[in-house]
Amino acid sequence: MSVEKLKQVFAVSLDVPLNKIVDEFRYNAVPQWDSIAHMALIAAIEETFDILIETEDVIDMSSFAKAREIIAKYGITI
Amino acid sequence: MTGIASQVEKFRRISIQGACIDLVPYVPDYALTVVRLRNLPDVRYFLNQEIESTLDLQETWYENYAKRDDDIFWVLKDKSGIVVGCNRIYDMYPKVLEKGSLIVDPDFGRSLPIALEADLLALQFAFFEIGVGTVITRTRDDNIKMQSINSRFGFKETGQEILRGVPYLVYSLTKEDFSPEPFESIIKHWSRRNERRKT
Repeated sequence: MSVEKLKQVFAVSLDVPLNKIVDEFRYNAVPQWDSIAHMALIAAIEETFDILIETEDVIDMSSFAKAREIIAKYGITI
Repeated sequence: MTGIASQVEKFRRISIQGACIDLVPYVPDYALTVVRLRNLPDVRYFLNQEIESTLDLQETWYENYAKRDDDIFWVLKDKSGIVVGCNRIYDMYPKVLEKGSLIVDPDFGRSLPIALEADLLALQFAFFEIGVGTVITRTRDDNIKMQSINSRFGFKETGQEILRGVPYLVYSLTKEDFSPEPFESIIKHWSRRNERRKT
């Protein structure tokens, strides 16, 4: 359930179709995932899951797979 | 002195306060930091800067900058006072100006909304303080991330140009097409989270 919610957050924040959001979806490979979109993405994840992401995790979040891993650290079942 | 020229003189003395960063008018005290930023490999590539920046070159640039009356160069400072980048508006005419030379220190760029707020503040300043109706910007044609940022702000591609042998895309944004609200809410979130992190 949370995976689907996270996919929705990615799709809306980065303005990409939902079916493109897979584990291999990466910052370096997606033009729309620019630094502004990254800020919007972090803000949306924090608001959706009611968490506060540490700075190093903000920087590390460079793929959808990595985002799943990071969010799990904050007690969100993914 | 024209209307814009007298405004530029005034605005070169005023910092623009943001929620996460401030735009602070350039003075020579920032030369070393700006030289360091300009020599970052990605910056040199995307600004098409063939030669290495030096303090001497920066000093010469400043002498010319001081004589110009249609150019404002800011350093970007986070709220602890660290310089995290720079931004600029120039070639100001009564109805149009150009925005460019945005540099964000990569050590900070993905942990603070620096590019977002630097451009948002510069655009708000251009449209609502200087009072132009159009802002243009040129982006190297392989700078995909900056092109995406241009699109997010509502810039429309209006043409292509070769600058110093390199193809650039020309973008234009009118005051009517500029809608800062979605970006302001992102910045507010980041400002709040930074406050929460301090407590």
